[in-house]
Amino acid sequence: MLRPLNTADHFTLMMDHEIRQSGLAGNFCALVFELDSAIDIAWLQMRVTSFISRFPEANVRLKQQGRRFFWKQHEGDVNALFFHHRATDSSSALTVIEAIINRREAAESALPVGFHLVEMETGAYFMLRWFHPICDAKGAELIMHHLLKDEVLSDGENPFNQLKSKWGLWKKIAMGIQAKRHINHLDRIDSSLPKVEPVIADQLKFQIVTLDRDDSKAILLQARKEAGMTGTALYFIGCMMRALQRVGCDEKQGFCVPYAMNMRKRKALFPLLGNQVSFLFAQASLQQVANRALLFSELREQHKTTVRSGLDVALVPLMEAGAWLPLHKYGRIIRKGPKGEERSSFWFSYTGESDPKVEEIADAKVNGMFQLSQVTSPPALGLLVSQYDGCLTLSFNYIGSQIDQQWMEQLIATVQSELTGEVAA
Amino acid sequence: MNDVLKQFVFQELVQVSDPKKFSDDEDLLEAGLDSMGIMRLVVFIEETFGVTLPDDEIEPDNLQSLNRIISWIERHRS
Repeated sequence: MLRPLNTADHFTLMMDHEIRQSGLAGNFCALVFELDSAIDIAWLQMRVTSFISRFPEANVRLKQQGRRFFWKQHEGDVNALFFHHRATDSSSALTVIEAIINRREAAESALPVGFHLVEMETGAYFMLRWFHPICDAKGAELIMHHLLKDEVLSDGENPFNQLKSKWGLWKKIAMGIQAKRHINHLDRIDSSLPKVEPVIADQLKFQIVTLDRDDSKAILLQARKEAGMTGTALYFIGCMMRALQRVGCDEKQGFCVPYAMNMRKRKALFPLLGNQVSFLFAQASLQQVANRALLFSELREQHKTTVRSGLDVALVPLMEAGAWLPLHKYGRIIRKGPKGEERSSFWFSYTGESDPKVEEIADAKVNGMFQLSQVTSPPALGLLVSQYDGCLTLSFNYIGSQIDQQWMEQLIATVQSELTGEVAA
Repeated sequence: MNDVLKQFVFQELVQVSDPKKFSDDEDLLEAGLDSMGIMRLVVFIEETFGVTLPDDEIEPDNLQSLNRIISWIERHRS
């Protein structure tokens, strides 16, 4: 039986096409848990088998039929979703993780989810790699929860479909026009991009910065002070914009950053699968970015106007229309401005405190967690912010051959100083 | 007002096992009301109850519980 991809799944499939066109593996993401001891492999394998028997829709493959894409049930061995790797120490384990996120699989044969245990002499990493069209980052957290616990799911309507079902055809058309106008408006400012070497993209690299609980708390308080209770994600985006401007980038007229908005209710354990997100944009001119107070006030005002005018969901009908386009045309419309220039200054994600929290995996205590995501070139750079047990983690994802390592180090240090608010306006 | 507000919060923003058992003084921020949810809630309140809530009052004291939200709305209705 074939199950159609939802509108947002299709959007991430388009990004998969764009990432592959950039020369990278595809739209693969990961949640990686750092464990303080080795774990019982047989138990974990048993949990993977149990998970797939409870959620067979997670064991599917992509299939194109006509213009549309579907999930086709896969009947193969579910043990093939579990992988065991060995490494001597943390550094070599991270090299294994880098190889896993960069592993190339054709979209039609890509595993929607794969569970990887990287065992070290002491401790381990447990990595859930997923093919983005199957779920979003919150869905990946829910997969981990249901992998480890036999939770009874409360029935409920899929929130994304529920949202779409509220709209009639004319409402969708009006919203689509509203969204298109919004994007045209964004395109009046050319986006600055990271400094990228003009060489072929090779593979995704990453650098993880985990802050301690006190520093994290101070940053979140600073975020509330400067960007307000509704602006935590905007605070991270603004700090990254400012850091790019300070270390030097391919500067144009401003910065533009797309970010996803989770449509699930908070604390909901359902649905795991399907991307349940809409998209928003944060944009600021160079002049605004240069002044912290002005920047955060602009980003807050923009966010408020976006939600008040219903633009937070207006992109959904536009994505629905895009799902009928060939992937390359859809990609061009979403990514490029009228002159063919890239609209996104960088990719961004903020998922907040890990919830439901995975405290241990097979009796091994979880010490921390980080996320990974492939990106397109340009912009060749993504910042994923997550929080585990009160500690913020900044995951800088970038294309190794195109981003200079020294520039990257400077950027990371500058982002940190911006986050703590040490920098004067 | 209370029922309309509760319905929106528990249908759209926060998942709790039984909304009927969730008291009007219980902590909504603890229950999962996040920054995006707060923005949607403020817009809903303004559109539904015809009030304007100042941005500088979007703070935990006014959003911690259903009762505090209702008091906040009431202050701007009169």
